[in-house]
Amino acid sequence: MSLALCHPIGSQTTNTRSRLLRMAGLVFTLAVGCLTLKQAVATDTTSTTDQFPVSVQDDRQVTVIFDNAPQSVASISVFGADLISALGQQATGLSTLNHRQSAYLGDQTKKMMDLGEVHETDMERLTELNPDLIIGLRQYTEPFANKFEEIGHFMAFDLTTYQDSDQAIQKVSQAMGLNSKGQTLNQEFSDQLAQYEQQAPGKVSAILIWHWADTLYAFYDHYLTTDIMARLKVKNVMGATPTPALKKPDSTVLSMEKLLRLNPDVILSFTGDDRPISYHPVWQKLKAVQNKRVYRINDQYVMPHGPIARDMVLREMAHLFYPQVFDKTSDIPAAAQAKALTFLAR
Amino acid sequence: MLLVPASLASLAMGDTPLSYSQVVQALNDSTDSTDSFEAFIVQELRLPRLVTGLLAGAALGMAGALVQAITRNPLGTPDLMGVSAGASFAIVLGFVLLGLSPASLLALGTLGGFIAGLLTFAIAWKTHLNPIHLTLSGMSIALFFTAGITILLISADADANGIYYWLAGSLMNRTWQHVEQLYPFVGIGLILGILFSRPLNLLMLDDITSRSLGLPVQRWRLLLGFTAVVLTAATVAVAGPISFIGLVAPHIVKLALKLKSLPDQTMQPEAQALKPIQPHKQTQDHKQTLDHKIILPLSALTGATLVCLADWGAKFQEVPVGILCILLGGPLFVYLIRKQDAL
Repeated sequence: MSLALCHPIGSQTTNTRSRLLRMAGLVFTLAVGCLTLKQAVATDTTSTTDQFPVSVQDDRQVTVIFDNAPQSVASISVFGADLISALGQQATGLSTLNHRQSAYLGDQTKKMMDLGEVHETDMERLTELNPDLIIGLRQYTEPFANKFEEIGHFMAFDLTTYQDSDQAIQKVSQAMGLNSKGQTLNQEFSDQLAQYEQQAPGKVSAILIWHWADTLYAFYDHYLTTDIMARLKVKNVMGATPTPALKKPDSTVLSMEKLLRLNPDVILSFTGDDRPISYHPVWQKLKAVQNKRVYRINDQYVMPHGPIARDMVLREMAHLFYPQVFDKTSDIPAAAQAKALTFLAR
Repeated sequence: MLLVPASLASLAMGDTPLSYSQVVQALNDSTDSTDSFEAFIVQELRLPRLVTGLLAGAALGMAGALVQAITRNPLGTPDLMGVSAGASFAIVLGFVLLGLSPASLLALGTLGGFIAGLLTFAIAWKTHLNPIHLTLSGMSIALFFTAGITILLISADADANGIYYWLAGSLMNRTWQHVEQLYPFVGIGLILGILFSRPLNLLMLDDITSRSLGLPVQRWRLLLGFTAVVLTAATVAVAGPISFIGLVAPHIVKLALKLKSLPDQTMQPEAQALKPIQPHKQTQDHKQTLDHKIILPLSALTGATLVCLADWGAKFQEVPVGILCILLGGPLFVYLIRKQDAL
């Protein structure tokens, strides 16, 4: 009885065990499958999810048709290399800015062929590289567009605003056959911006400048970096461009008298020496200088349109503006990190 | 007449609006200028910019009159000596290749101007600094250095495009440091120019006549040319190449003097003997006086006024003052040519 009684119970137990085993097997299979898939994506990111041929229109309104996913990508400006890296691959050639590779991309740039300065591409090297895709900025590549097209598929972009960044990321991702990945990158950044915006306390003013000798320039509101500033509830004291219908100019000359009147809490300064225009009497009167909130920033701030650059800019600026709320980012290469400048000890 | 109101307007004009009474009050504020915001703005920012502009304009005006006289070319400008191009080249070189600080760039620019001027004289030396050869030498040197600037700009970093602002001639962000750099050169140049106005008058004659009057032509042409070099080189180093002032200022003075002809008694004896070089007709009622004792200081004053006015206009949009000088000087020069033709 007990057996009889037990049997069904035993039979039920056996069934349950069997189900559990089957479920475990299924879970295991699924887990293995997922891992394999993940590994496949990680190791072979050239695998495309999109059907080829793909046709993409760049900012010149030129339609470029790709029969296969590009395997070798040359980047004229760091944007292309940045995006390709974010898509899980690596550009094969990269231009320089001020004869330097952009530090924020880390050591991976060492493996890329040096294609010369961003505004004067070394065409011989580019021909030697023979890339499947060349990604460039219109402002630097326009005069030589025909030559680029002779070498390989060529896409040129106007990169100024946040919208430009999103669109260019989407288009290149599409050309690479990774359309959904591009969408994900844009969505993730949008979500991240919203999250930072929510946490940012606000009530900070700043300016993004660069200078040549004693001529200072400041970026208007519509530039991506200053747009990110606005999302962080930071007021760009330079304000909006007087010609909102035009993306260019994105910056304008700034007199020291105007800088004194604007007197921002934080100054972000690109390039130049360690103490730009420090001899000028206005520097000592600036709030940012007195409070030691002047930072020398790197390439990613003036070329922020790639997914990696804009993410770094957002996180680092958040810390620079609100050090009590946002922690210092640890994953930015040392050479690309913002450095505090002091002007008090002349 | 225009210089004082133009200066006052320039001091009142800026990013922070100030009334004329505030400007005067700020100028009279003898306390530490860092205490009062208005006093700081006027004394530390606008006044050095104004003084730099006045010195640059005066130097270019006088240098233009000197070059027009020693080359006997009414279209002569300090640019024709190759000095502007030489100073510009040195500054571009200093920034693009050597990465020098602004203070070092000023010194290097002045040196570059001197070297270009000396090269011009060296090339023309064999022809006894003949005016035509001097002009051609200066043009060659200017072209040489301009080509050098182009090469440097082509090979420059992408972010060196700020250099174009400076190359257009700018007074923005000038400080007392710039004034200190400029005034010794301009002071010496102005004094030398006025002291040597007599031989300059004689240089307007042809070389044979000048020599028969006992003038060592080559030596004086070199000395006066060097004075123009000093004036121009320092100005270009501090404010960039400001065009047209050196060309227009002496012509405005000559035209003004012509319209208000000075009686012949006021002229120096040498000047009375001169047959002025004039591309236009001369009437008995309108005799041009080419006494450089008068023309040189007036050219300096006119140059200073023109730069002051141009900088006042430049402040509206913070465009380089050199652009305004061209926009102002170009039509003015056309007007002067027509006016002279009409006489």
